[in-house]
Amino acid sequence: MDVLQAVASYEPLLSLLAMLTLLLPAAGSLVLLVLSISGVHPSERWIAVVSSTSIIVAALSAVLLAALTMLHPLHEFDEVLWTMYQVGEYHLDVSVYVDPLSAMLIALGGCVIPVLGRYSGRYLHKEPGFLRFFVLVGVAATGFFWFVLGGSIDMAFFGWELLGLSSVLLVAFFWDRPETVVASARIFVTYRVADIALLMGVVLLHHDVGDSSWRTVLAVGDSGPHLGQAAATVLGLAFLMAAIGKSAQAPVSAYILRAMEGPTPSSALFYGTLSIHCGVYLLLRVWPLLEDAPIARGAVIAVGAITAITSSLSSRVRADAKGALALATSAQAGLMLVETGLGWTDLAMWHLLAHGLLRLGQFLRAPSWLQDAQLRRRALGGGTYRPEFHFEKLLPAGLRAWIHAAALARFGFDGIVERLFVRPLSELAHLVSRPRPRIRQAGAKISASIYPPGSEEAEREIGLRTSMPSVPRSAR
Amino acid sequence: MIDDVFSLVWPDWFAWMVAPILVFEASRSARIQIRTGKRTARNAYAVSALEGFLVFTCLMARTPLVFLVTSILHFTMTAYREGTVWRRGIVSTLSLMSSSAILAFGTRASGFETLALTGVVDESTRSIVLLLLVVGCVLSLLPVKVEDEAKGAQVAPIALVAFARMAVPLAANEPRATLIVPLVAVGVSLISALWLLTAGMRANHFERESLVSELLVCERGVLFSFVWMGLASGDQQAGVGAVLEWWAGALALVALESALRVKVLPKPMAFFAVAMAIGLPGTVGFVAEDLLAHGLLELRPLLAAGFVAVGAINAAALFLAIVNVIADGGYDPRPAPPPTLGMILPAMLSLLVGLAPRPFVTGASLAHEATGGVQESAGPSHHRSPDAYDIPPP
Repeated sequence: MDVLQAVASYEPLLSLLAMLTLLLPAAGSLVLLVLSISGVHPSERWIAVVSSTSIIVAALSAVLLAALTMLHPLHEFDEVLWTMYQVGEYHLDVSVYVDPLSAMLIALGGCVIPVLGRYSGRYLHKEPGFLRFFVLVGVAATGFFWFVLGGSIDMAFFGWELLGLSSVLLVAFFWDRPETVVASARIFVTYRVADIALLMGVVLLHHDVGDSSWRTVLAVGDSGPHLGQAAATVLGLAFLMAAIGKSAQAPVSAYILRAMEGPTPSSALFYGTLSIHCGVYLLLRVWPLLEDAPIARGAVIAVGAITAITSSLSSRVRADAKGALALATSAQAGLMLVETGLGWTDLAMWHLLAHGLLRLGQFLRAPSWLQDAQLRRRALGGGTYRPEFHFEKLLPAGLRAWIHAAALARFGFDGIVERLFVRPLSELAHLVSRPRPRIRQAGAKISASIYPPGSEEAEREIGLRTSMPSVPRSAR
Repeated sequence: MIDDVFSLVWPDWFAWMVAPILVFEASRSARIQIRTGKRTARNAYAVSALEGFLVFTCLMARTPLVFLVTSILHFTMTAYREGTVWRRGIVSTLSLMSSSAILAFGTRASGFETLALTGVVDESTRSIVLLLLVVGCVLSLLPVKVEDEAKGAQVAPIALVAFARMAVPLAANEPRATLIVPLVAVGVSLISALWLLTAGMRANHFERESLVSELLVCERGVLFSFVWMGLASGDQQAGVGAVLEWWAGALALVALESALRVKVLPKPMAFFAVAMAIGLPGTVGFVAEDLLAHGLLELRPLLAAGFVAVGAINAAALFLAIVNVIADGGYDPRPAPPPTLGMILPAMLSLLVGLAPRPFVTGASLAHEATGGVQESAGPSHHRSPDAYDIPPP
């Protein structure tokens, strides 16, 4: 034990492990990308070897780092690896911070990513985008490890963005299908808003605390700087907004269904195991800030509770396995938010770990769900299907029908987002950029050849109307 | 004699940092001329090189008079190249020229570095010059019509150079300017981003070229407005971020142009070009936007919020525009050939600066110092004392 503790206290070894974890997945992706750009087309075997080697070594380093940190007497490791740049007093450091919370998520990622890599090698056999998939998995692994291992919120932001980009590009994996591209665009916009909220939080943290390292954030209110309630609330709300986007919480929870357009391994990686929990992890990480902000905590509980109820109901009316799983994942993430808001951070942490592993298995088995169900039934002795008892049946039939319809329509969250954000922005864009006369004339000529002159479609096509008509045609 | 010439025209750190950007802009200008069939490749590159040299001379100018002469030469060159004079170009160039003329003939300024000294330019003249420069910048940075893409290609760099050389030192004695001008820049960037949001709708009916042009002119407006915002803020971090954002913008535009104006779309390169434009981690845009956001927040939190909001709209609009281009561009579905130098060089440079930013940040800091901008960061006090802007006479 003493030897292990001595090893755990040997900082150069821990720094080396951290460097390997942070850089190897990116190096693997870079090698594959350079090979691809230079016209060399490596075989699937070589792609898998390069990708798996880099990811497995990084994952092992990560798990070892987490284990050694837990053996350390202080149960934490905080080290600045290098300074990226400095202007005046402001500097951006590449640093590592490991404590029990991050060690747990590192262990989860370290176990999950190699498994998914192995599974994907078979699942995507002979797919045209085989190499692209593994490049993006490497980027995702890089993003995840930077997010979790990062010693400051700046580094976490760095990883957060990489994770988002890789997930969007993997949703658009089958980009010859128009609906896939549109889905990825919608997810990208949602993620971008979440990124911006996190960036605002990062910048405000620099402004209010003067430092963005996790050590300083964790010391807020204790031995570290004291934030006022207003500042803590604003910061808490900014981080909540970021978590809403990343963890598919209300009112943007429906995007997770669009994300199912991607291949199953990527759905499992992002929307079952890692990415979906990053929002929860962020809120757990900034818990000392939330402690001083009851309004922000209330908002966290409210958002989590609404998501848990609505996504859970919506998942029960889904006809497809992946969609139902995705919404159930979102509902569970909502419960974790409630636990975080209530201050039960340890429970939320264990919930996150258990849920991540469960969903990994469920997502990976989703393509053979029916077969599994039949095998299970046969193993239990067969027999006819007997409907189970559901508590919903205690409700009046009318209310049940209303809830069923609302759950099918995902409680109108898409409409709310459309009405509150998308449409006003679209109207504003049309207002400031009226079609120029020459373009309008040319557009009118083309539209006239397609639609009857002066019809609503013709006008909308050339931009004289906004995208949504205010009065239905039948009502005119 | 040589010393006299050096006192009029000599590159400082700002010129060295901005010069590569001019090369990228000149190459874009040449490509536009070749694409529109106005010139052969050799002629287009020769004309663009000459024009780039004139812009570089504007950049090296140490006095308002030299700047005036070189900008007149540049305007004449553009008019000759296009075979016509362009209404918006005339107004913007006249604004820039008249501001330098006022400084050259109406004040005691012997060079740009003396503009920051108190008593060299009186208050009313300073306000007029700043107003003219703001008008020139707004007209140069707002997205142009697609058919005017070639005419406006090199006007924005001149406007930004004029602003950095004249307005930045003048604003050191005019604290209001560091509040108002960045707000105007936020407005310009917002308008450009909103135009980008509707770019697909405006150009969908036409061929791919107009679709891509619409995207590029709008994106250019957004990215260069960010540069203007940082330069105008007077904050050290934001100023350094602005110089890097200029790099990021120029590289992203070259990458977008190279990736989208081909028969077979290289999708990974197209997406990487988008990543460069929106400043994803690992690219120079990330470093630039990080510094800009921190600098602006130190100065005015509302300004930083505006910058961040426009950044979000820009990212969404650019991604949607790219989706439109891919969906409606009518690209050849065959596998793309290996990327060209025009795609790889900007991508590599962007990655290099993004992953090892320290020497470039140092260069950008020196460039910002060379413009005579306020050196110290505002600090967390949010408001600066007007005394902080008074630079003692030598």
